[in-house]
Amino acid sequence: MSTTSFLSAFNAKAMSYEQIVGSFVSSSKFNQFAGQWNALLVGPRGSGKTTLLRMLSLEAMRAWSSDEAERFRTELNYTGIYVPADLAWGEMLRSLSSRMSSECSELVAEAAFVTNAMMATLRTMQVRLHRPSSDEGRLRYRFVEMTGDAQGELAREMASIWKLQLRSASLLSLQNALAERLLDIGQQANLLTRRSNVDVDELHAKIPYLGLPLVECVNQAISAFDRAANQVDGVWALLLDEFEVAPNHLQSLVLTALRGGATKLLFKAALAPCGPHTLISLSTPTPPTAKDDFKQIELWYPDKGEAEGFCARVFASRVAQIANFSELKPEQVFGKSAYAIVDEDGNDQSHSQNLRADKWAKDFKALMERDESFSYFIQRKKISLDNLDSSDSAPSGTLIRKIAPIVAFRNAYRGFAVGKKRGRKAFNSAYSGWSAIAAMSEGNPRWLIGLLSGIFAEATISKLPISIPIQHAHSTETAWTFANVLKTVAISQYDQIKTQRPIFQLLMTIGNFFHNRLVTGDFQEDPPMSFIVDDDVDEDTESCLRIAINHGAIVCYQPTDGIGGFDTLHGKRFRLSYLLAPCFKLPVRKSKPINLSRILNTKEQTLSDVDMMQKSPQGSLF
Amino acid sequence: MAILLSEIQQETVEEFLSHDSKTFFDIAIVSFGMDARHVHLLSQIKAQAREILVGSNTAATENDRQVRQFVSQHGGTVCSIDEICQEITRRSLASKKSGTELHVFVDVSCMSRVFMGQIFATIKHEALESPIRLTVGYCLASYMPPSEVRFPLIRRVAPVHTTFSGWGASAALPIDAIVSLGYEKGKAIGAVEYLEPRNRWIFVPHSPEERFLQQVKKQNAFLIKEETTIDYEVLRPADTYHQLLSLVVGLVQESRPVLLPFGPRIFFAISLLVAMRIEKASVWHVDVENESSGGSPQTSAHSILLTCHLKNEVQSAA
Repeated sequence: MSTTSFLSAFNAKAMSYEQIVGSFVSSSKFNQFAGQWNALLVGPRGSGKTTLLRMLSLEAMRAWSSDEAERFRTELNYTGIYVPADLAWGEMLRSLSSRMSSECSELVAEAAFVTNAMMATLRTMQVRLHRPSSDEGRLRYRFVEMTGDAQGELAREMASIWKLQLRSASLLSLQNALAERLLDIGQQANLLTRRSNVDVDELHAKIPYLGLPLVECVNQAISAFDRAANQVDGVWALLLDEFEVAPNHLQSLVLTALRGGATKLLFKAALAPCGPHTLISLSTPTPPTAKDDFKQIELWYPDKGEAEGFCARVFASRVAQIANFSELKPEQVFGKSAYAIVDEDGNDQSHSQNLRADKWAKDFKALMERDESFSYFIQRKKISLDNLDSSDSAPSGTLIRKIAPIVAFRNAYRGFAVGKKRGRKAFNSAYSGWSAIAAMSEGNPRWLIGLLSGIFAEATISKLPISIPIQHAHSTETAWTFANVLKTVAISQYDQIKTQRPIFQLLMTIGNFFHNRLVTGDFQEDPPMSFIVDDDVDEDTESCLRIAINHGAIVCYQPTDGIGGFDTLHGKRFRLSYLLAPCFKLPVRKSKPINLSRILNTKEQTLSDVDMMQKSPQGSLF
Repeated sequence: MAILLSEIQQETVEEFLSHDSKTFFDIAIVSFGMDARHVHLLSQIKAQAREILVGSNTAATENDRQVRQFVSQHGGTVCSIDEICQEITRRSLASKKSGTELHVFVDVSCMSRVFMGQIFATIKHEALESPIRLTVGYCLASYMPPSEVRFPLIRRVAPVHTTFSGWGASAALPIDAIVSLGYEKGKAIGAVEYLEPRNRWIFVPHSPEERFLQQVKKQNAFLIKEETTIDYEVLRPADTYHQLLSLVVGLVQESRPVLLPFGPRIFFAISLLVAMRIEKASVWHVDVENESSGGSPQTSAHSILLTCHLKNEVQSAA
């Protein structure tokens, strides 16, 4: 047994509250999410949604000890109820009623989800009532004294609201009754799925607690608690993790309830950017808006610069746990990236100094000899290769920084079978150095921690920065592990987003196109490396892209246009995740867009799967 | 409700026939597919079978002639999966009335996992009402190279059947993935990472067909490199059952165990048996649309029978 895979190096679902708060790195996005308002957290897998949600739970607020934690405990005036869910649980939910009609299936799934939320509500109440082990302020946070009789009365009242039979008047009995209900749902569903043509009436007869409304059930229960605790103005928040796995009806209900702003019960939900909720039409003439009714926080960074500050803080939290490393800065450990991390205007977003113009000059000169179009470009732009100056003050400094990675890639791969590298010398400087590592992580904490953990494992304090080949090997291996996961992504998500096209096949088509534009044909200072979903892109391809977005394989430059995600992808601009750059042999940089339909309609030589895999450090894997 | 499994034993067909020739299977279930192994065990045990039910893995229209030929040679009735399950139920009721014990034989050698999930689910439900003796037959294929599907069209990664969905385990618990490896390219790591488990437990199959193991190691190099692995013998299913059960029992108090049985189908069958015993364990499969077997596997010289007695845990305690 082990937990060392880059994807599982950090998994908030599997961590205790002590571990969560111990590794937590705050951010402006957390501040935006935490306040006393309804909020939706939108992000792909691994982007840290679960961490942020769990941090707002009562359990985490008590476990968290720092000045910042004290500020949150003072300012946040609600009790957070963390309602767990994940893809596996969602599949179990679907499997439970897979052979029923869609109406019956939705009812069974809803009953199961509502029971799950009731269990979470009760669990949080029990935490509030649990006498702290000491007088330390944080441990007494939201603690409530309640006599045994009052707790019994509360249990009876909640059982009545939730239609449960109690063996004794206690919260423990209520907890047991909920666990039994969950099992009963499974058993009844099991029996009913063995028969055909089960109708809704029969289902109601077998499962009399079907159709209990989520919001009212929780609202009435927390009101009962607050009355018993003499805190009638108490505010609570349902923290709904991976809410896209909930039945459609519940998603619609909660999203509609966002309208009207803060009440006694707040909703804070984590959602995939292209979950089924983006396909649902809310049955209200006045749907909630992110401007007036809730805050929508997106957990991705189209521009690398935005993510780098967060990445540096994650780095600091990780090195703090390693002897002799705790005071080190990221660039001391990883060194500077060989190429400036630039945007399409040539602006250096990483603020790296001492860009390695001397090393670039070798690439520039070598390419000049082999590439007539590049030679012409250099002459036209009047760039002197004898004194290649990339500083801000140099007349062509910005341009040189901008084209340096393109020159390096073109020099390495031009003139050979597509994807094949020139010569035997390793071309391994593109995916090392702090800026490149941070950019490849996309500000996704799981990916970053996975990248850092793998590289740290081979680091010694006496040999810093860590060598480029070691960094390159780990970043490329990480990229290939991610690619391998994408190869086995299902072509149907949440039973509602379906495509006939394997996800990785589409990504490979796009990646190969960009690689070819970079390496073959005439030299361009800004070859396309992003795409626009234009009107000629069909529905099936859009579904495929939706699944890719949910996995973090592509990143949108624009903000979301709908409640909790993207209503449509048409007209929006995307790029491949930088984590995939080593697989498609692309530089980590922003570049101009091209219509996706043009990419899909282009027939040209592509990196074959086998070629790509032979280049990967895990070649033997495939 | 869980099932109590007892009297678990493994033996070869030869051993079974040599000392147990008076044992009869009330129903023998085999699956008809393109795999040559479908007749191997049946041809040896058919004299012990009172009724043979032949389920077809592939569309009947394509294989009508072959199925008819198969049935004329070996006997039996061609059935849909639902008809097979109904027959198990009918026979089980009859056994309960007559006070006898139903004995079912299932050859899982080339049975689809969905098919197997449904049959085992029915057996479980009937065993809750009246004890059943189950014999699982498995014939090892001779080695053939893995298929080369460039882009597998994976329809779904999900529990194989409602009964084996692990329902009742709290969503608040982390997932522990228990994976047995096959030689399908990248499939295991993809499915494992999809589940975002807390821990991964990797079972590696060993068999007399040693080239399988070489391929398994090659195709799963990353997982094997990263994880501590557990070896199991494909032809010692009773031992594997106990090995797997003890692991799942240890995990279920603090996690949701999800079994991902790739590779030999006997491990899939064992996983279903473990999930009958531990209801909070779920058994998952990867539903691939364009999966190619890369040809029709041939029968090796090795086969094994796993027999166990199934009964309702609660009734048994009473």
